[in-house]
Amino acid sequence: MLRVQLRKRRGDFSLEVDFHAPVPGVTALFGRSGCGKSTLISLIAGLLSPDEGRVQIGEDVLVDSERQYELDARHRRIGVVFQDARLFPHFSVLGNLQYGARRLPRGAPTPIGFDDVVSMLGLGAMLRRRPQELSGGEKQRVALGRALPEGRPALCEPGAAANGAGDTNIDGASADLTAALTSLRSESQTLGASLSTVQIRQDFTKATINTLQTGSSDLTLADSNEEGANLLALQTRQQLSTTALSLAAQADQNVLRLFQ
Amino acid sequence: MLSPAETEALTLSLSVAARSVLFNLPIAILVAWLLARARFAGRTVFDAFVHLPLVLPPVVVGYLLLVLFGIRGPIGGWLYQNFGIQLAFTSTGAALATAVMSFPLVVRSIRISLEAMDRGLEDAAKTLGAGAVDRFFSITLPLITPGILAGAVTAFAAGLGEFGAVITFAANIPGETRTLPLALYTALQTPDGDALAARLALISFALGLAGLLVAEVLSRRIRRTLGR
Repeated sequence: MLRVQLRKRRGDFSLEVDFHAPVPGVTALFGRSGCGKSTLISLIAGLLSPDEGRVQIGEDVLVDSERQYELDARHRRIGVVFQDARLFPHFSVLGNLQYGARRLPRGAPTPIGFDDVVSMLGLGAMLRRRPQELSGGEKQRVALGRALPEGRPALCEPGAAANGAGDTNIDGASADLTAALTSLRSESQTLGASLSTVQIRQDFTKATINTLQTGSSDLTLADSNEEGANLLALQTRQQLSTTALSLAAQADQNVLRLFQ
Repeated sequence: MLSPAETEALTLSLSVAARSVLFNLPIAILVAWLLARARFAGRTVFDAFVHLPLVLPPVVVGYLLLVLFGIRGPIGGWLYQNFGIQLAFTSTGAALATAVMSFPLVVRSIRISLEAMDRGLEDAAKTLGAGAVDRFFSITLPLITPGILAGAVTAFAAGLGEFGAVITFAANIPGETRTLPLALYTALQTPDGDALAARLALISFALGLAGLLVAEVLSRRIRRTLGR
């Protein structure tokens, strides 16, 4: 179980989060662009500190403002696939994939080996290439492959394409969202996992995340017409390999669009 | 082709300029990092202080160095008594004076590339388990290499021509501190020195041109490996 309960102010924007999500499981988080999805990811990954609150995975506490405890991002072992991939331009694909693995603590368990990452995501042919020689989708696959061995939940951010649609055309974005969610749900069903969705409601300066629906996401989909926009998937441990596999298989379809 | 005195001035210039760059780089990287990343009280004053050699007359810089690093100065005296190191009126002193003069150029160049760098890459490295020092050497330093190199080349080229600070702090000693511009100046002060002055000017000209070409080739090659 991932428990997130926190508050963060950035300028005149404030984010209040209170939700829990199953681990292992796939959690889709959505809301208008600018409502704080990426901020939430940064808070869970440890790249930002909450003003107050607590984040916990299972029994492991990552942040607890009451006890003044904060685990440094580098020790959280949470893989993050950033919206803009953030591959290291001076390393080859191979160097990027190995960056995290080389820094794992000695003897640390990792959910997936290097060879599996390469074969599942179909990266074998591009290991020697530089990030700047890759297409957008390829970059995203490498970013996913780089994040997977971290062991804890992999956090993925939605793509620029989805963002753009959300800003200009709510209806179009909703169609995207519907398709993406349907696809994500059928995928989770094949995996025998539950899909939960978390919706961020926003009234311009204040976003509150507290809606949680587990199981069917039909209800949430109905809401999405007003909320529009983006999806963010929070994948957790046991699911990583299979989800990654289906991502690679559906490279040009809706699911991957979530991650691009 | 070159007379012994000309060769001496040329090699001395090259060596002084090269050593000045070596003095410069580690400190310039640190200072550039402080200015680009750290937030501390007095940062603006510190920034201005770093840029002072650009606006001060070089003779003033040479004079200040003489006060501080001269054999009776607080730093120079300490160095001399404890290690027997003398800087004033030596070629190492010439390199020091040259380094101080070109320091702002190097800092500026490194700082610009630090500020232009995508800090998200450092965040990504952090989520992958890299600590602060590790991140600096595996991500930041390689990505600012073009800036470091550009700064180093500019400093080297500018160092070949440093005149005022060198002659004030290190004097004009043949074979020790008489670099190309000082030799040229000396030739101009000598009757019948016109031909020599012209030859030295030509050497300086060729050297500067070669330096700029090398810089261009290097920066292209580095940009290619970094994929820009």
